[in-house]
Formats: sequence, C-alpha cells, structure tokens
Amino acid sequence: MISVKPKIGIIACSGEKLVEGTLTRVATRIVVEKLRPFTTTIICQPLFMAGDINHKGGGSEREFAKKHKTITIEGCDEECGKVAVERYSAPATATIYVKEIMKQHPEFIPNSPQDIGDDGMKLAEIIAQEVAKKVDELYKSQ
Amino acid sequence: MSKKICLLPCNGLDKALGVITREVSLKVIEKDSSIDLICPVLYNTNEKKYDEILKDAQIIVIDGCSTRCAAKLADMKGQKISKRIFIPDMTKKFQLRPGKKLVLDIDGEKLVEKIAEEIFTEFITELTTVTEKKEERKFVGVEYFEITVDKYHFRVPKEGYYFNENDCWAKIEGKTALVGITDYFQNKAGDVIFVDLPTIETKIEQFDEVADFESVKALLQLISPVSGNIIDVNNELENSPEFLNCDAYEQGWVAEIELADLEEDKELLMDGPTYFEYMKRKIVEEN
Repeated sequence: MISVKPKIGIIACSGEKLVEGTLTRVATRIVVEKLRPFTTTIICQPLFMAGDINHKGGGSEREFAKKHKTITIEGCDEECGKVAVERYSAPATATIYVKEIMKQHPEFIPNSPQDIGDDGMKLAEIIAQEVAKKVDELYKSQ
Repeated sequence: MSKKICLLPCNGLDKALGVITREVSLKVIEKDSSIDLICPVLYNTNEKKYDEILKDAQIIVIDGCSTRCAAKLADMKGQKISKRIFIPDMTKKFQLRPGKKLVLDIDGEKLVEKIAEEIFTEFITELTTVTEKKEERKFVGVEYFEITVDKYHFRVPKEGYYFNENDCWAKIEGKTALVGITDYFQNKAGDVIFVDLPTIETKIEQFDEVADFESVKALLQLISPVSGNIIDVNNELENSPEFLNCDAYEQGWVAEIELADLEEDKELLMDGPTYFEYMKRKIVEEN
C-alpha cells in the first residue's frame, strides 16, 4: 500500500515596497517550482485572507493550513504570514526570517523591490535552499 | 486640493497575473512617489498602520484573478473603492499574454508598462480632476417650481437650467454645462440601480446618448441637451445611483460637457418656466 504524505504549505509574506517582500516571493516560487515541486505547495496569502468567502474564496487554503504543516517566510518584523496563518487556520509549523539570512550575505542585498537583479536572485536562491531544508525536515517527520 | 491616491494590489503569488499587480504598483509609485502603496498583507494583519494614509484617500484596487482579493479586502475593511483594475481585462485590451516564469517575460514587462501608463493617463488624471472639480462644484440657492400629482412630487429649477423634450437638463456654467435627468424622468423611471457613465473626452452632438441607466422598470438613456466634449463624470453615481432619484438636479448630475455651440443648442431647448408647463401638460395627459 502506497502512503501519500501531504505537501508542506509555503506562505510568503509578499510585502510591498520592501526588497524583503520580493525576496520572499521569489524564494517561495523557487522552492515550489524548482527545488521541491513534489513536496510543497504555495498558499497565496491574499487568497488565504479572502478565505471565508464562499464563492471563489480561499477557503480551501485555510482548510489546508489547518490540517497540514506550513512554513511562513517573513520579510519584516510584522510577521504577516505567521499572524495570518494563526488567525485563520492554525499556528505555522515553522518560520524562516529573511532578514537573518540577509545579514549573512550582505553582498547580495538588492536595492530595488522591483528589480532585485542577479545578486538578488542569488540571495533568493540561498533563502530558497534554507526553506527547502526546512521542508525536508517537516516532510520526513510526517 | 486633491485627495490622496492609494493603490491596493492583490499581490497574488500563485497566478502569473497576481504577480503583475505587484509589478504594476511598484512601477506606478516609482514614477510618482506621492501615490501611496498599500501592502495587502500588512493591511490585513495590522490595519492601524494605514489609518492616516487611508483617511479620505481614493483607492485604486488592482486584482489579478477573479477571486478579486484586493477588492474583497477593501470591502472587508469598509473602504470605498474609487477605481478597479482587473488584469485579465488588461491582457485582452493590450493583447499581451505574460508567461508564468519567475522573471517577467517580454509580454509581462510590456503589460506592466501599459497598465502603469493607463493608470496615469486614465485613472489618476480622472480621479484628480474629479476631486478638484467636486470641491468647486456647489449648487447654491437653486429655486424650484413645484407640483404634486397624486403621491408624486415634481420639481423644475426656475433659472440656470435648460431642458430638452427628452426630459434631460443642462445647467450652464460659463463654457461648460452639467447634464442630468429631470424629476419627471426619474419619477417615470423608478429607482435607478445602475448607471453606465460615459468616457471622458468623448465628443457628443446634441441629442446623442450620454449615459445609460438601469432602473427597476427599464433601461433608459440620458439624451444630451447640448453638444461638446465630455470633460468630467459624476463617479459618485457608481456607488450611489439613488442620487438620480433623490436629488436629480444637484447631486444627481451625470456629466460635464465643454460646450461646442450653446447658442445653436438653445434653439431646441426650453428654459425652466417653459419646461415646467410642458411637464405639467405631459402629466395631465397621462392621467
């Protein structure tokens, strides 16, 4: 009998105006599309927020986050992903703080949230690797 | 002074067009830093952060998919939306199909540029103009002829307004005129539930259709008493079409027209006293 483990939900803070917001978005997509496509799924935070609306809402996102493991990727101290998941579903299983990773790689910090450039992409890859490690840990523990 | 303009994008991440909303917003504020960007996730989590910015602001929401998360968020927070941009409509309009990759492709970049440009040339210009004009626009001391027939009350302004036989009016203000529908028209139409406003900069001839209305009874048109160029519209009617019923001659104005030839137009119009008599005859004939 094949046992199918549920995917890990990834929630990016997606913050506006901040390079950290862009980095969380890019890193999330790198994880879900390239690094761990079979063990992760994106939870779109805006859709998640609009979740209790019956028609075309993100109710399924909220249900998923209630029942399954989630990782939030936070760009600033507001911790919007973490707050939203806890408010609408259940506490996030893990949280990655982008600012901490940025401190370790100051040479790659981009200037513009609109265009993070090649260095920003390198930083997003590094963040994505950190997230992927956490994904593996949580996925194996199921 | 104009009201503050804020952008509220959906900021979606799981669909390509959601990503476009964020890129468009960043592009717009890069060009004009007086425009504020509302981060939807932060607004949801900690709305107090935006209390001051959103006070009396005009909000443009930008949604990437039919879930319309940004519009829902604004509704949930009790905010009035001044303009709505729906990216799938824009892809059709500009015939551009962005891909789903991490980095925007050529179509994606073009689409961002086009939408940002449209926000400036259409939406922001319109919102700024409307705000400035509304602050100037006052209806002081309008005096009315009045008549009550059965349970219906009809008013006709005594001076300053001209009327056509289609029961629409033009209030002359120098080189421009506000246009709208008369009390008689709105009484016959019943409760107006939707107004389709014209596009600014549309040229119209006398007796052309300016706007369409949907009431509980019928679909109706405002037939222009004057010719010229539409320079402003009453966006308040989109949210409050009932102004056409409860205050047809003042808050219920529909559009402002830069006059082409008022003297010629007047040849086919009635002044207040004449229209009042004309309206009374119509009411008597109907009873």
